[in-house]
Amino acid sequence: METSRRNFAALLGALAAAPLWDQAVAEAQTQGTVTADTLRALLDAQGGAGIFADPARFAELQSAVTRSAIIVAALRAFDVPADVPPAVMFSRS
Amino acid sequence: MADELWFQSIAELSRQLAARTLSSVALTRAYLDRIERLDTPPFPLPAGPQDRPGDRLASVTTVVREQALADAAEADRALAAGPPKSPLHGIPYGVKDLLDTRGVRTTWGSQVFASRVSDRDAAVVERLRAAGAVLIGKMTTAEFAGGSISTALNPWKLDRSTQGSSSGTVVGVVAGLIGFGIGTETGGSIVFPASAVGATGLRPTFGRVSRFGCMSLAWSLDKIGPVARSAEDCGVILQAIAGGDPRDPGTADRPFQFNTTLGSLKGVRIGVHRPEIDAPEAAPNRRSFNDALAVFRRLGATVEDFVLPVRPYFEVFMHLTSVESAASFRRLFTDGSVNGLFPYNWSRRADWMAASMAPAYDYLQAQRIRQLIVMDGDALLQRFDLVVCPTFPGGAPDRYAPTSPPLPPPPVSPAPPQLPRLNWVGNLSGLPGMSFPCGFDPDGMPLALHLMGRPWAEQAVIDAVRHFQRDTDWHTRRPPYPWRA
Repeated sequence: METSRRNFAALLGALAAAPLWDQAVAEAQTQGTVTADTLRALLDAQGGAGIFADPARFAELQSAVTRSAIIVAALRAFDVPADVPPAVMFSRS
Repeated sequence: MADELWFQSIAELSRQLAARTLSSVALTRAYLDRIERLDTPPFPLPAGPQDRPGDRLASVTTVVREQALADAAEADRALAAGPPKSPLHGIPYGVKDLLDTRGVRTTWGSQVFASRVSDRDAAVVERLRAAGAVLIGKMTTAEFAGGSISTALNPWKLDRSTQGSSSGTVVGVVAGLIGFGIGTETGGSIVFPASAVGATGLRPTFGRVSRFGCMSLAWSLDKIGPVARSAEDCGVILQAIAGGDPRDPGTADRPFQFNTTLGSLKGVRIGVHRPEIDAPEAAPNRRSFNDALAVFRRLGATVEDFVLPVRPYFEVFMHLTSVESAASFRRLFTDGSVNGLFPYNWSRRADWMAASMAPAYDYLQAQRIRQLIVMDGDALLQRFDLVVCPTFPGGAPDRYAPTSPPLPPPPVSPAPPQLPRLNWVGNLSGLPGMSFPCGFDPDGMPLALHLMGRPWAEQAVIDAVRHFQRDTDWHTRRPPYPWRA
């Protein structure tokens, strides 16, 4: 399978996104907002910056990412017993 | 023709249609004329709560006049030739504009799809057609079933919210514009507007009704259900639309046979989630809720309080819905049509982008907590036959109230204290639930209870509400016209 430069860049972005997201969660908890630098890096990794280039839309996204990061922080803080599987099970009926 | 015809039950209309003292064409024309007089919006699609001149209810996005009259004439011919296909034969209905209808546009509430015409019917529409029901309207929904939740106006008071994306269906039912309606629910979009507008709405068990041909908001949470003017009507409608469908792998092979024989409530154990009645926002309405619970007690049920365990219910629901809808609507970003969303929904573009940034393990963590919530619900419904709470403790808020809660100040606690809501348990666990009117708030707006049962126990839920509605008349109250401003 051939991998184009664009695909390779997207793959690198995806690999970088998880630590960036962790940083966003930490910023949301400690500073009350995800910083613009972190958000730009996340957007670059996503490859969907277009409609959020406008400052008002960027601010909207910053609020949304902060809200989402706060929610994720609450989910991560909740202790689930190790033997509880996710409610997403593949089965053949 | 008496005004009351528009508000008659399915059983009453069905009897007259079968006896041929009423024709489906006359009934359909009556509803269509009423839509024309009270509803037809002066704009192509409702573009948000701020754009509502006048007192038209904006509950119907597309009126299906010619096809409805042709289908009604066909129903009359069939009823003259033999027995009715079902109790719905010849009765006009409206379906939320998320469900495909062959040859009639399905917009999902968005100008992006204002001209979208499917060449197929949704499974629910197929089944209602087979039952002989007559489609007369595609009912207004908030764009992509989210964002602004008051795209149809509340006939009880025009400046109050209709509280959910099935608001067009619910308003149409309560204002007597359709015989019954079909809504969808991901986290409350049937029961919340049913409460705010005074209808009876049923969220079936997850998997009871096929979603084939319906817009997906969140695959693991979406349900389709009936909205009507009584619990009995909901039972009749559910029988027509329920059952397995290989085109929707989420369905179970579980048809529903509505038993119209009503037993007793004696010995039925009803659990009350007391914190939602004791919540500060419920204070002005507490007496109404307690009076309604006393009705069940008087009818022989045992009524006992319980308290839900502390779980991040809201966070689980929000994360699952956001991530699944971000995946569902990803193509709006890739083809650029995301630029065509109504301005009121621009914040959702940001929400979808935000949700798509979170890694998969956060989604799985939310699904693991959901599994705990499902087990909680199962244990609760071993202790009780039914559980109940106010559908919306504070009644219908202002139509212009913001729909997103403000961000908390830093540093943010990882587990902010919140009032557990039984609705989240019902929706995350796929439990059947029914919202039904139980009084009015001090401003004359409808209040409702939300009764839930075990998976596949719709009959028990419907029957308990049928008992309540035989003993009370809240579900028969109609908003007076002209509507209050």
